[in-house]
Amino acid sequence: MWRDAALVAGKDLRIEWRSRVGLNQVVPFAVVILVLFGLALGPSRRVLAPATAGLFWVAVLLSAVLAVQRSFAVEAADGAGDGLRLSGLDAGGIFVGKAAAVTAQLLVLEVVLGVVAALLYAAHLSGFVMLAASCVLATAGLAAVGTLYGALSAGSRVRETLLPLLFFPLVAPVLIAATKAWQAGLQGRPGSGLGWLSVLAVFAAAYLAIGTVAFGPLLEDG
Amino acid sequence: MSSTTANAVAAPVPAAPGGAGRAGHQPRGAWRGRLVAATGGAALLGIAATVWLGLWVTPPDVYMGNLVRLLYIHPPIAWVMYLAFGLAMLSSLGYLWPRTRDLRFDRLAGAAAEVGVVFTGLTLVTGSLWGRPTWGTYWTWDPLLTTTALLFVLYLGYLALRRVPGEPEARARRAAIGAVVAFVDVPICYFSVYWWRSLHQLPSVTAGKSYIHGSMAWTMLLGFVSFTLAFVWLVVRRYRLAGLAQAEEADGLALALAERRAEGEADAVGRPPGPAPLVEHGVGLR
Amino acid sequence: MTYVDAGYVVALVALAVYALSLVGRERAARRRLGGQAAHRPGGPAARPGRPGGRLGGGSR
Repeated sequence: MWRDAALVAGKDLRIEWRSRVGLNQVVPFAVVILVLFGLALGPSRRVLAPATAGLFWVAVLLSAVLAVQRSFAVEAADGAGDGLRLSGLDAGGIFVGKAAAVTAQLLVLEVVLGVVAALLYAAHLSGFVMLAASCVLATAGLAAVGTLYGALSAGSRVRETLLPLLFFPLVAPVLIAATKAWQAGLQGRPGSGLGWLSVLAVFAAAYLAIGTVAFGPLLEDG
Repeated sequence: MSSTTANAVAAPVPAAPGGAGRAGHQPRGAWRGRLVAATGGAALLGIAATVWLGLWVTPPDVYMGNLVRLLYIHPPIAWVMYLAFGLAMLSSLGYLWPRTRDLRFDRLAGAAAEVGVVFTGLTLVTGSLWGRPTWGTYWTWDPLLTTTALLFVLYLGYLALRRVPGEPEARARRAAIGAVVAFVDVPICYFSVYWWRSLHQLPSVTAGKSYIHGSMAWTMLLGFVSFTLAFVWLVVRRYRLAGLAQAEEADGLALALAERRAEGEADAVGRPPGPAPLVEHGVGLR
Repeated sequence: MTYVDAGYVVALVALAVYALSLVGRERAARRRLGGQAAHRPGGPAARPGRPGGRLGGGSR
């Protein structure tokens, strides 16, 4: 299963690297969102700096939907999904692989976005370990839910609107926990974010487990 | 009265499906229909009595004044919401469990979830209307309130997922997995909002609780019973409607096939095919 | 109108509208199914065992 996961993740990341859609479109999109938040909230540092964590994570959530849609658009073209189904790869492995590829892309995006947010909102990036740990755990949860729902809504004509409707309410706990963990890190008291890290870990573990089990039946549908 | 209307419409065919079905299923079907009707009637009477007792008979509360009257309907509605989502979850699991896999479980899950969404909306509205005079605000980011609002949106998404067309089995499987995925989120969500707000002193849902006794307790109990009966009636009716929609879908397919075949035969004979019989298909019914 | 009245009105009206819509949709579905049976080449006998024209005893 792990070998299959590595194969699928490698395939997805290679496709992304060759097309560079993520790099050329999703990352600039996320940066635009950060700029828009700045415009909406005004130039005051006293407003923007405390809101940095929340705005950063909202931008990540919005981009995550795009990354997931991209990950399944790749399978929809040229009957690639059928190829994947018939490849004999373990379904759980396919799920973990696709989720890992999405996680990797989002982590790259978060690094860029974190730097831009720190510049734009004049936030001080301290508590680096806390920031990085919450990024990894939150992104794993987002990618797991996104891949599950991406497969659920893939192939339907309404997937562009269905996926966000399913995805955003479900990841509300991730938004809360990741924002609180980031706030703890940014305010220089990383210890108070540990509880939130555990929330993120529980969320990621729960949905990785469900996805690994449920992906087989979902793939059969086509 | 409704049954006569339906039979009148189906009457042009001598052996209408209603007649045929009734001949075969007379004892059981009629008994069941009567039970459902009795449930609906009891729910109607019960709710009417609750409203009468709640608005006119019971005295105002010592602390809450007349606002206590909302507590005769708000907690029962919220209880039905939990009941509905619990039932939706159980029947989704029933569908996913290979030994009990049956499209009836899928229809039951869909029916319960739809009724649940209606009751969730009403929980939010009645709760807000109670919160405005009590807390001074329609909305507060209390864990219970926030989780309820997210439940509402989560299950709206679930209903949207159910409406995606596809093979009945594939659709049922997708919906059942979606239900489980959504349900697992509820406790995580509740606890994260709980910890999120724990630094603040906020009015909680139990803050307005006061001593309830006598006619007030009975009215509330009656509210619980009658809204639960209304829930049962609504779910049964919704479930039956889903069964009809499924039959209609299958019929529509068979009919389309028959039409194509008839066209093919007409072409083979060399006659231009007549206008195909116009039949409404079950669009928007599911 | 007080908050209490508003709560009762919203709850009761919404439930009544939902219940009536269910009844109406069910009736429309039965009518369509009956209509299709007339056109069907195999006739209504091809569809046995479906709960027939009984519409829940007409409690409304």
